[in-house]
Amino acid sequence: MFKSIYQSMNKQINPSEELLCKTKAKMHDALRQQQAPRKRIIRRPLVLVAVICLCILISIPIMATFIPYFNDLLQIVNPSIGARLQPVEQYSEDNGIRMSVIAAMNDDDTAVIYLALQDLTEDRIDRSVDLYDYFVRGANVFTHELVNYDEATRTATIRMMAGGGRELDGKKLTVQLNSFLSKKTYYDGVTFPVALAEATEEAPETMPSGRINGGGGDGIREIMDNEDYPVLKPKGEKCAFNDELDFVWISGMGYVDGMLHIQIQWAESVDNHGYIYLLGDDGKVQPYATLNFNLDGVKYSEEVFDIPPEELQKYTLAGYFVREGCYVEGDWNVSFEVKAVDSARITAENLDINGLHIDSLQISPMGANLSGISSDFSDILVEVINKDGTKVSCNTMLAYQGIPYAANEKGEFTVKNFFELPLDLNSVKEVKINGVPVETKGP
Amino acid sequence: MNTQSLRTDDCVGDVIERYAAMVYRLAFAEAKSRSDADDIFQEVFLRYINNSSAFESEEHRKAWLIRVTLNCAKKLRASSFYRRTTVLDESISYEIKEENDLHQALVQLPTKYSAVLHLFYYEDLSIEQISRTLGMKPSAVRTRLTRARRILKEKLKGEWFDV
Repeated sequence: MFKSIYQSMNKQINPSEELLCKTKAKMHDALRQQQAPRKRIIRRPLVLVAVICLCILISIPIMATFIPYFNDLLQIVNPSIGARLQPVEQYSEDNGIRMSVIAAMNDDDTAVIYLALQDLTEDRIDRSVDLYDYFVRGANVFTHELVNYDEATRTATIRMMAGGGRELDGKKLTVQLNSFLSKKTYYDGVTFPVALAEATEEAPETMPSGRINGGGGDGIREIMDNEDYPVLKPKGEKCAFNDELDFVWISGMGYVDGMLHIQIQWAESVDNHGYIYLLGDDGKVQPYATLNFNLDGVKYSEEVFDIPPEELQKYTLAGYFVREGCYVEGDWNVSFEVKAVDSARITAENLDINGLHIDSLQISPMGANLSGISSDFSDILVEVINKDGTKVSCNTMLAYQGIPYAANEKGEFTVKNFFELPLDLNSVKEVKINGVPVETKGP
Repeated sequence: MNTQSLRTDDCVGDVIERYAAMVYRLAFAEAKSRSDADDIFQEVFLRYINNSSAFESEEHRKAWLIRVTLNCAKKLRASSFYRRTTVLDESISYEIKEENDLHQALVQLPTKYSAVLHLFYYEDLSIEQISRTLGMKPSAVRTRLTRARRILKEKLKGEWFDV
């Protein structure tokens, strides 16, 4: 009902004819100006710009001594990364927090950006800092990781990887940060005080799952296709793991169609999260599927385990949870431009490796772009062996197309795997995918 | 993937015809006033003309227009003129009572929820698509959507609020 009313009221909101005419006229004027012959460009400023660029390129080590963040960063990162980084050193301040873009490096479709986040007024940044609402304009997918935390200056240094952009090289990029989390508390191996067999005696009441917000596990695709898939109906009773965990409860448990369902209720929060698992003699048992849904404004997760009732006494219910601490909002943005130094590539096409088909492989100094077909591309391992015998592997993946653990129906994927250290392509002797050497061309 | 050449100056008339309603409704959802929506609308299409990059697909062009509309709305809200002025009651009247009630509730909804709500319920974008378009994590999109629903439900007393 909400949706239909919202749609109906919006259909009554339209730009006026006058506005349309005025806008079209302005657009045509702007186009005409663009297409008019351009004035001759004076060459002297260009020469000046070229000289300045040259000075910057040859004086990075000297600049580093005058730029504190960049200099600090060079102490933290591997020298081969430092050699490729271009200093940016621009910052934005809001809400007592300074976000500095220290340095960056890029290729055609990806940028690696080093940020420093420093609290100038309070103590809201620690080792658990996690960028929450952020993006890099010009790229489509992002991830980040903490590379260093300096207790003395309360400064976190973060490596951000942004990918999926087009022709990023030389393009202006903007890092926009709207909020971050910190001061998180981690709880691992927390066990549930009630025995599983005892908690699952009664046949539970169920309801159709309806619109699932998301989830995971092997069975999620099958379940999401079926809106009638039964989930436990919350009874309004909830049981805590312990007194300290006051943001997560078990709100239901029981067997439905031979599968063990355990329902978790979450307190309202920005990012409290976690998961449960069964702990047996053989270690952890992960759920067949995890279903996330909201009911009457309350957030639930339901874990479905494929464990028969007669084996239940072998297991203990346990969980891993993260409590959010500080949620800091602000408006931090920095725009800058970086230019890739090396445009050479190592390439390969049409590779078939133990059930994995790769249409295209392109290796730049920063990472390997792969596109192909596979039902699960989460564990593709790209390794490069250098002429001196050293080996460089990829340690971070960004998926541009497909979901790593559940590719689309055709199994198509496009990913970028980042190398742990930048490569010198001229020193590469061999490339292996999942341990199998592949025939390559270039650089 | 086949990359089409979709330059910004390909067919100005077609682009404005196709996306005028989408841009204007999103601008209105953000600004909650016709006069501000008019300003945002013009700014978006002028930026479109000055955008030198080509679009890979219509979906890419649509996502670009959505992002720029939201940026223009944000820029307008941040301007000192906007902060010093009060939005006049433009007495917008809809056809039925529920629509008028919903409009009043939406006017009071914090701005940060408007875009996610609009893209989900009007443009029918999925959480993933909104996340990609706005450059937010899917979890952040879901959180905003949940909070927006809750606020609206409270304001509308939950009488017909069945999403």
